[in-house]
Amino acid sequence: MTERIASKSGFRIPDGYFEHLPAYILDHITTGGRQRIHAIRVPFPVIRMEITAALCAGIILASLAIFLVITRDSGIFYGSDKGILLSADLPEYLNLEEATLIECLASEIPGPLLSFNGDEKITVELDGEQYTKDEIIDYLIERDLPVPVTNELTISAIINSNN
Amino acid sequence: MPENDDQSILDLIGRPESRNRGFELLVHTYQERIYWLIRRIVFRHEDTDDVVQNVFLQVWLHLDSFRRDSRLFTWIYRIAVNEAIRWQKKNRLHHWISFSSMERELGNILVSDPGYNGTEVEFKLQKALLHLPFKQRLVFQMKYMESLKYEEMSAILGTSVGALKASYHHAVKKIERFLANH
Repeated sequence: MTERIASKSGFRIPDGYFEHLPAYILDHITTGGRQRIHAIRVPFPVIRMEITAALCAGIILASLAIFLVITRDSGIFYGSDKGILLSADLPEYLNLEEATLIECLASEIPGPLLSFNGDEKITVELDGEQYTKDEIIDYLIERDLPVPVTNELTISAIINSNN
Repeated sequence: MPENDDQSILDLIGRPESRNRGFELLVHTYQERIYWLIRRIVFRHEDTDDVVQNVFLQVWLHLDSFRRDSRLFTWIYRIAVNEAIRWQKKNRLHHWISFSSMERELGNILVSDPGYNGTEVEFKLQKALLHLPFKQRLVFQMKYMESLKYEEMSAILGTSVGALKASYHHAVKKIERFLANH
């Protein structure tokens, strides 16, 4: 449960794609010059029977889901939520907690710090715009400016970047 | 990939008689990592294929200007990131488009793409990633999915290690919030 989601995250590729790619690219570059190369079209097999089967399975699953929701609300089968992967469990399932940082490299942050909590709005005097905490973080990150990890944020960086 | 392997690739490329063989080896060595970096950004295999080929075309065209003061991988990765950003801009999927429309569009790609067969949790994670600004998403993918070191990411993205750590931290927090609320 706590292993990370596979790095490919559900994406798949046509069989043999990586076996063909190096020779394909080299062939185009050496023979065709320097124009843009277009995609190797290795179509995914789409079989009508598969689609029909998928539709049938979908209908059955949808019916089952409706049935389960009804029975769950009425308490027929479920004594608790155990066994159901709730949204709140997902971060643990994805093993995101392991990634949480503790350290804040305060030495990298220029200027005075401004402390605030939650989603309260603050006003940046320079342009009169209002930013939430998340918006300021995004603003700093997009401009490669240091962002502290704690609740303290600097707006001097924003002001400096606008000058 | 060890640096001495990079060295043998570059040695092959440096000799006219083995240049093609060296380049083929380069593509063979890095194609998968570059492919998955880009696939997670553009989603569709056909688009990824286009971008990947552009990346290696750029590598071929600029091989002589590679100064060898960074690792070959870092250099190629930078080109890949630039190409992915170019694709993002071209396709108007950059983060300044409203979240709802961007999420809808890329979500539709995932649903309709026969090349995507992720589980519900994987799909949810992809949706959560779409709520991050582009660079934060890139940082999260490089760290969480590709397990790159901050130092490597710093060399690729030209961002300080401190800013990357903070960026990753905030990305994780946002994803957690998204998962809890959706």
